[in-house]
Amino acid sequence: MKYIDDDMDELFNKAGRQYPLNTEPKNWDAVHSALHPEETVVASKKNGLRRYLPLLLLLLIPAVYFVVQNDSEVNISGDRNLSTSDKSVSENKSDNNISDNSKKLTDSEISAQKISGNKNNTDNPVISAQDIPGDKKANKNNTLNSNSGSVLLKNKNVPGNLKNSTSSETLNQKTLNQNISGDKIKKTNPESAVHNNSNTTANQKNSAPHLLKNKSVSELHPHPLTTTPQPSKDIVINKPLRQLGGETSVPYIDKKKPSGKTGFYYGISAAPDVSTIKGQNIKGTGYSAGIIAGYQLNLRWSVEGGVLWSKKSYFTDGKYFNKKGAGIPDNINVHWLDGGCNMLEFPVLVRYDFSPKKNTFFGTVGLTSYMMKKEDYKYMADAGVGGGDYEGYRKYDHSGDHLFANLQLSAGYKFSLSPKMNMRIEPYLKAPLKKIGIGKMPITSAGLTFSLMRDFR
Amino acid sequence: MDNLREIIEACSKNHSASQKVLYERYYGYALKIVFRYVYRYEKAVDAVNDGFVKLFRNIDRFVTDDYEHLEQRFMGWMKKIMINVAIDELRRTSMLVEIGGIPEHIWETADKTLSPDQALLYKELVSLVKQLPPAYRAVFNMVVIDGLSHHEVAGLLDISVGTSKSNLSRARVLLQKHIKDLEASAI
Repeated sequence: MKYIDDDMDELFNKAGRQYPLNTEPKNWDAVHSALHPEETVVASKKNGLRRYLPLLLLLLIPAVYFVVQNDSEVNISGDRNLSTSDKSVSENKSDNNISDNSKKLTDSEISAQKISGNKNNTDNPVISAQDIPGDKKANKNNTLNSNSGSVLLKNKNVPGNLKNSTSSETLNQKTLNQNISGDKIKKTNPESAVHNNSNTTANQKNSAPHLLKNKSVSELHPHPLTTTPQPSKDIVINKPLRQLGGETSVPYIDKKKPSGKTGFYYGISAAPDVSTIKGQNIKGTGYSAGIIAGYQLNLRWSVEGGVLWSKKSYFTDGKYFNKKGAGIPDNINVHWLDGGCNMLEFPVLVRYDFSPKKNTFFGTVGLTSYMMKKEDYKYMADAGVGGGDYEGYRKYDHSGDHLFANLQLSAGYKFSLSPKMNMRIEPYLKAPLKKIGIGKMPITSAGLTFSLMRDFR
Repeated sequence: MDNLREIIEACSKNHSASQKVLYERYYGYALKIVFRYVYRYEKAVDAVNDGFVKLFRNIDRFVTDDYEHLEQRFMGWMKKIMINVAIDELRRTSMLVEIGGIPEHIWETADKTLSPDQALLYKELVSLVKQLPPAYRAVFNMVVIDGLSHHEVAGLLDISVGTSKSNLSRARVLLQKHIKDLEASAI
């Protein structure tokens, strides 16, 4: 290594530039995040959302379930409403399947199907227009089983297949989708067939006048599906339904209201409750349950109040318990106190829905007042010099009212059970603004409220 | 290197993909500079990344008309940035001597541009430089390997020119001593 002494600098220069160094792995992400923090924030937000995704999915499961359930209710609502109104229904079903051609729905068929799906149309005699062409042979199969004069006739026979429609089934409306009673098969005279057709068209007129007004039934089928011409001249379609069926025809009105409309609502709520005093140990679980009423101010804001019966359990070091108010002599040194209270709570809250939809997250803030009904404590104390520890018990009734004693914060998820009913799941925190109870204690509570609410609207 | 100019221009527009290309291309070069100053490999890696952040944030300050020697100019500019971040790292640790061996895995063994003897020699020499006290190491690196003048060294390290020369002299003495020790142990 003699040459090193001769030209050491040059050698070190070469070594410093060419020495073998492992330069992997490179960490471009670190540089990138420093150069483009906005992209990193977006990515981290995405990650954050991803982190909460399981929780969101858990919350969505009941919501989706109820939404699906509501949808199915809407789909069968016409039938369901008929069931509740105890009205008969006749439904002819062809033994043979509808031919391919007949599967094409005409406008009138669509209209009639819409009508039959209207759940608010319980008083409205609804007759499917599917056998509107009025072939008497076909209509003989129609059985009109009407106990109250209101009829829903859902004839799925299609004109093109009338000759094959040789059997019919009468469905009692109470078991519309289930029981098909062969005993109830009746022949229907041609008049009733005409009556059916007339009702059908009249009803169609009521529901979709732009489609049916002053048109014969045959005109409603631009593509004749029968091989034989269909007599339609005896069908009067521009007669009011009341003249035809003797029933008052109520035009379809969608009574579904947007969820965000103003109005009152009320409900019941219940919650398990844990309480602590200055973050000390939690002893036992309490509860609160009661009624809540509110007023929706607009799409998102509402105010609400309620009355809740609460039972709280808590534990505290003696230093947080006010002996003077509790009637415990000054010379008694309270070590700890274990007990609880029963009281009435009066929350006054402002609620904000994060979305005007029926299923939404929401947050509330408000104040809670207390009417203390009963306090029950077990405590460990000593009487000072020379006295040993002893266990004491105290009970207090109606120990005080406390106006706006707690600040209540909560956030939760509301999901619709039916058009007027919803359920809320709502974790809450009640932070003390005042010391409450006989012992003037700052009680902090938390829990999970389950509420079932109904709209007056 | 025809496209280096375009890459630099794109980087000056904060174009992420171009920045990555530049980073990937010159990361090894930058790490070899910084690792001579900073004893710990992990700290050197962090310092290099800091250096690239500074480089990209100030890349619009890199101006040259000499496009024939663009890469040399650019690498020279990059070297100054990397030296600065390395010195910052040394200052952060108050120029304290760090102890502990250098793990073997950080040395690249499959460098085809060097013969095994050369690679071993260079690795030994750089290891010797890294074992110098930080103040000597910095001056030796700057003057002997990176080609800075004593005035520049004095300015960067906030020391006098005389101190710079003195530190360089002492660094040489120490290195010669280490080399003799190596020779003696080899014999």
